[in-house]
This record gives sequence, structure tokens and C-alpha cells, in this order.
Amino acid sequence: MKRLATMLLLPTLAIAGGQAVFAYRDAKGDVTLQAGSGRFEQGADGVQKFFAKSSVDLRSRLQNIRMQAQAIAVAVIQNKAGKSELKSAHASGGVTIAKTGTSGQSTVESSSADATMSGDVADVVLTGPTRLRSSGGKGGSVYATGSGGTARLDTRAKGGSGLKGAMLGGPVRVEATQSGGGKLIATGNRLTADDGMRALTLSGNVKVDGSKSGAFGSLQNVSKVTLHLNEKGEVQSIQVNS
Amino acid sequence: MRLISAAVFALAAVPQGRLLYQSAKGDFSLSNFSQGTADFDLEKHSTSFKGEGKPARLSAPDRGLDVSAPSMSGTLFEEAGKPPVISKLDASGGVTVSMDTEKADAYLKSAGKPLPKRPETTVATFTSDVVAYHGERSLGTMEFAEPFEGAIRSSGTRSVVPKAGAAPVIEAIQQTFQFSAQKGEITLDPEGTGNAAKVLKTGSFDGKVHFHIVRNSMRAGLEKPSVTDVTADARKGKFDFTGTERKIELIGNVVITNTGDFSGRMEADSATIYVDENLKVTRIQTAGSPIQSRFSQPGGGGR
Repeated sequence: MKRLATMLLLPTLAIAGGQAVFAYRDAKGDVTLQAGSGRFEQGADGVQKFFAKSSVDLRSRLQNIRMQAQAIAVAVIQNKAGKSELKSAHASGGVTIAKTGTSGQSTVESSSADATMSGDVADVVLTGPTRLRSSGGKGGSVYATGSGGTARLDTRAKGGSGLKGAMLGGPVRVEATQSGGGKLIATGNRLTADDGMRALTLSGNVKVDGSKSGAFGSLQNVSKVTLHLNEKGEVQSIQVNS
Repeated sequence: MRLISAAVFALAAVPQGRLLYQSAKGDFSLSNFSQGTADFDLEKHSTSFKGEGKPARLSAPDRGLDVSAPSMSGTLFEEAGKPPVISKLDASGGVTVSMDTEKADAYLKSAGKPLPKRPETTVATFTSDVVAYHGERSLGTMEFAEPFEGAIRSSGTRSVVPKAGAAPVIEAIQQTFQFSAQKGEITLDPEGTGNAAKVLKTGSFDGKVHFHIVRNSMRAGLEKPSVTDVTADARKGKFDFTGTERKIELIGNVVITNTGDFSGRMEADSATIYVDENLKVTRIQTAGSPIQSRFSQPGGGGR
């Protein structure tokens, strides 16, 4: 096995434009990796480990994940069908994780990210300033910022944007589209997103402001607010509770 | 209703008087809530809320409407281009509902919004321990399960022709219509302004019913104002200002006292007070057996 992987890997080491390019592609193209430099280890347990640096671009076709960062350490395994998948990844330096669902897409950006894939989900621990963008693909989109947190990605992408949920520490800011038009901006100390990013709950000193062109006005001095989104990814109702 | 079924929010840290919600157009606000629930449905254009405060407040500043109560729940809906409508409101713990057209005009002026033409200013106030309201844009029902008081005060000027062929003169009018009872309900035009005969539609009161009508009009060129000051007490009462014959019906231990231009006192089993559209008492009719009736015109002379 080690020999086979090495054989696939070695031909992809190349010189491009005077820069060394570290590249990997498994036999079926299920996992690809490109970087300025890197190294590879074949574990005794069959796990392939890659340590890549400098403009790293990692893709998993089956999991529909693309991860970009300055450095990524990733473990690749063979699933029961004999296809390559990501098992875990640690990325640092301008991390961007892009996920495409069947009816939308999502992007996670952070200073560093630790991702663990299990079953149909990938749980990502995010550190440093974090941005989440989820688009329903029908006009509505959610853009959230915070100071680190977690995100859960749907690696099978049966529907939605591919982002199942997230939790961000504060201060958090959510920008969304109101049903009927107009933006909506919510701020608070913490954000929890559930139900495929269709329920966004902000807590702690929450403030919500709608635009003058939208139906919602302004809400402040509340401890907990949940924004409910419709299938288009637009805010259809706002529930104040705790 | 899904909107408020699960929602319970705590605003324990909210300083008194701070705003909770203000609508996009500034025509509706919820404030001073210390705890409660709220749901804003942007697709159905409805807002449901339930909460408590010291007191909690609901305001519609472009109508001069202000509701304050320690406990309050309600539902509003909006239509494009129109002010929000309170479709349901339940308040308790010491409720005050007030509507003041002068406050409304001051707000509209400060907000740079057009001022509606109002021949009269109107201040309407309703107080009770418990108030339940439901309604639509032009018709609402206010129910009082506990003792309550209400007052509609209006003032303004109008042009009147004293007699056929004469030149019109300006008449200044101040009117107050007060009432109280142990329990009852009224229907009203939530967007109506003017005197009580224009704002209120019907009412049905029970227990220690009390009405007080004061009308003071002064025509240019006259030295003395025309004064109507009628109080009426009864066991039960109701009024209907919807038809051309506006009347207040009183039943049981009726006592009517007039201290205006015609002063006197009448006791009867039942009575009906008729008023015109300007809330001027046009006649008082007793039904059953009057016990005592004594009225006098200015300058003496009982009748």
C-alpha cells in the first residue's frame, strides 16, 4: 500500500514556474492536494498523512469539501468502498473551507481550523476571527462573523448549503436577507446555528436592526433572539426568547 | 399559535424605559419590558408579544396611542402603506390606554410626516385592572372584566350658521364624555378622532354605571357659553352612537343630574339620554315610573 501511494505521489512532485509544487492525487481523483511544499507519511494503520505548506489547496470529491490555507496537515483514509476520504485535517493561516450543497453553498473562514470527519459530518473547531457564509442558492444568504467557534458540515450534502450548523463566540454579527426584501443585521455575544443554518440563535446583549426597506424595525436590550430562515435562506420570522 | 407558544424571553437586565422594539417606520414600539415573549413574522406581517414590565408599554406614536400595563400580550399586523393594526391585546395589573391627537401631531411634525386635518383634538383614556381588546382597522372591542373608567375629551372650533340667512360664525367647543362601571365593553373606531360620538360606537355597562357629559360651546359674538353638564348613574347602562339617533340607555335606580344651562335632578327606573353628533343632549326620556323630576332653566322656573 505504502509503495502504491508513493508511486502515485512521486510523479506529481514537479517544478512549476521555478517553484516547487507538492501535489497529490489519488488513483480516482477523490482526494487532491496542491501546495508549495509538503511531505507524506504512510501510517501502519493505512492512514495516509500529508503535511503541506504554502498556498495549500485540499479537495475531497466525495465529501465535497475544499480547504485552503497556508498549512494543512491532513489524514486520508480508504472508506468501505475503497475510495479516499478525509479523516481529519488541521489547517492554519488564512483558512477557507468551502462546501457545496445540492441547493446552495457555504464558506467557513478562520485563522486556524481542526476538522474531524465522522459519518456524514465534519466537525470543525475554528480559532481566531471567523466568518461563515451560507447561501440557500435562491437569493437569500447568511453572513456571520465571530471570534472562533465550531462548524458542522454535511459531508454527504443531501441538501441545503452544506453547513449543518455552527457556534460562534462573540462578539458575533449576522447579516441576512429579510423575506420581502431588505437586510437584517443582528449582533450579540454568541451565535448558535442549527437546522442547516435555518435557525440562528443569538444570545447575550442582542440587537437586531432591519433596513428601512424591510419589514423589520429595530430590536435591542434582549437576551436571546432566534432568526428563522425560509427555504430561500431569507429571514421569515424572528423569535425573541431565552 | 406557533409564534408565541414556545417563546419565553427574559430581559432582566433591561433598564427601565429602554426600548425593546421599534417598527421600521417608527409607527409602533414595545418598550420597558423586563421579561416576556415576542415573535415577528415577516411573511405574515404580524407581531405577537407577551411580557411584563413596570409598566410595559405599547406605543403607536403617529396615532398618539399609548398602552401601559404591568402585564401585556397582543398581536398586531401590518398592511402596506398603512399603520399597524392591533388585532388582539390583553393587559392586566393596572392598565391605562390613552390616545392623544396632540401627541400624535407633535410626533408626526418631528418626524417630518404629513399632518392629518383634524377639526378637533382628542384625548381618550381608559383605565382598568384588566383590559381585553380585539379588533380590526376601523372597529375594535374593548372588554372590561373589572371596574373601569373611560373619558373622551375633545376640543376644537367649527363654523356654524346661527339661523337661516345669517352669516356663519365660529364656535369653540370643548366636550368631555366620561363613564365608569363595574364591568362592561365598548366598541370603537381605533383610528377615529373627534368627540365621543365619533370615536365610540356602542357600549354595554353593568354595575354602578356612571356617565358624565360636559359640553361647553362659545360662539363668536355671544357673551355666555352654552353649557351642558349631565351626570347619570344607574345599575346598568348602554350607549349606541352608530345610528342617527344617538342614545344612552340607563336601567335601574337611575339618577340624572344636570348642572348646565338646565339644572335639575331626576330619579327614575329607566331613562334614555339622546345626544346629537356633537354630543349635545337633545332630550332626556324616562321610561317606567319616574320617582322624582325637577329641572330649572337659568333664571329660575322649574319644569
